Amino acid sequence: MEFATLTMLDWDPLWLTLRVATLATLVALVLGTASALLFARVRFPGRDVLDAILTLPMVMPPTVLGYYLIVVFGRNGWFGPWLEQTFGIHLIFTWQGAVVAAAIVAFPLVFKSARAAFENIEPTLERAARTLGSTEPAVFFRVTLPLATRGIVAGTLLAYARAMGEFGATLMIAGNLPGRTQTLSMAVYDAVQAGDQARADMLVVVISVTCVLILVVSGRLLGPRHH
Amino acid sequence: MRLSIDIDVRLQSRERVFLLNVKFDSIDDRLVIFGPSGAGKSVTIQAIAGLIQPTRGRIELGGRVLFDSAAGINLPARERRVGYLFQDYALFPHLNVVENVGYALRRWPWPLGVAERKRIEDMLKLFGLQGLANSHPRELSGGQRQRVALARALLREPDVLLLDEPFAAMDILLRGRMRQELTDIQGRFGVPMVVITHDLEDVQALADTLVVYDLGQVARTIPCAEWRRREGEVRARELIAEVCAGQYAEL
Repeated sequence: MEFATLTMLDWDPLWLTLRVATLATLVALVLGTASALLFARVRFPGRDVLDAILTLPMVMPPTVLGYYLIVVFGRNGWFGPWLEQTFGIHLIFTWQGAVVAAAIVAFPLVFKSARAAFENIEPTLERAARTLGSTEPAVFFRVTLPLATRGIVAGTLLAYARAMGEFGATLMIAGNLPGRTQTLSMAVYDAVQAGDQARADMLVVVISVTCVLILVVSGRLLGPRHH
Repeated sequence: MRLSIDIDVRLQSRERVFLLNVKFDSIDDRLVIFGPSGAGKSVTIQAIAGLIQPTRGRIELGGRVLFDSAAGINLPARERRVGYLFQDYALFPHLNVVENVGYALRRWPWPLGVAERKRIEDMLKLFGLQGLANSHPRELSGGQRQRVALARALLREPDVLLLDEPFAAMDILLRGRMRQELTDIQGRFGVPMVVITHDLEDVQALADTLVVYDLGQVARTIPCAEWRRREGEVRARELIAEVCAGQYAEL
């Protein structure tokens, strides 16, 4: 690999990937944590089925997921026209579409680890907080959330790594338009297809280093507690 | 302080249904509820604290109605002004000793004020915890944990202190010492307490009124303080021991 390529490298895919992955992870963090709390605390009919559906993006082929997204958000899809008329948002062949795809594949990672974190909290701690005068929001922010933070953060880092590497569903909904929707993983595919090995090498190194960093940090957070 | 209880509680788990139907009244400041495991002792103090809702009945403490199904009164736990000492102490693992003891004083999300810090500091001194201010619960011994939990509950100046098997997790030597400490603290703060236990020694050391539970009902109520006055310390001990032993013999 020649380092001259570093300067010649087109950095657009990296910035796009970071933007898409960051937004997608924020969406997954908020929705994943909220639904984790709901599932950990409330019993309601159909909970197991809904749990399976929410976990589905983890096990389904990304292309199938992408197809669902087209069916739902496409120009002739269920919500596509409504989104376009109400908010002027197009998801097909746009980077916003890539955010939706990445958020959906990242969601179960936050959901699963946040749920485990909430379920692991000793209920007597929350009860103790109540007898000490805390209102329910105070119990949540002073006891529940701090105790679940480690699990939520670890899940979020995994979600970020997953969102960065998203390929299949993104390709289906957002396509592979250089400078517009071409993320790192797409760019690698393109580089290999075009026989540009130097460029592929660079891109692969950037992705690998970022993912290893994320996994090391989340491993630390998930491992035995250190103070 | 007067504590009147007349409640029905129904708890349903997958395997069984537990029914509690108890009624008692006490004006003593040291009440002990004694009975075997599963008799409903813990359920009773959880109902007093507002952690469990009875299906029917009334709980009155020092003239305040905490729960009354007929009148539709059910104060939330945070408004009941009870100190609850959980069996495993329930110290917040992410907070240090100062933050644990001062939990109720802190007006979240604002930090502790100077006056509050002073009160916490005084409390730590009183409990011999001043050297452990920045320690976390897992670094403490069993006795220290109990002191932190007691200090945390008392700093809120509760109307009553509810103690769930306070010495069950301790070895026998520590048990004796902590019993004495609890008696001293109770006298110093003048806070009424309700202790639940299945240990005769706790009854002997801590009961002015004894309520004996069996299978979700009150089997007997014994005025221990009166017995001590009337029969003398030694004879009263024997009588109380007989009552408690008899309770187990029937099982």
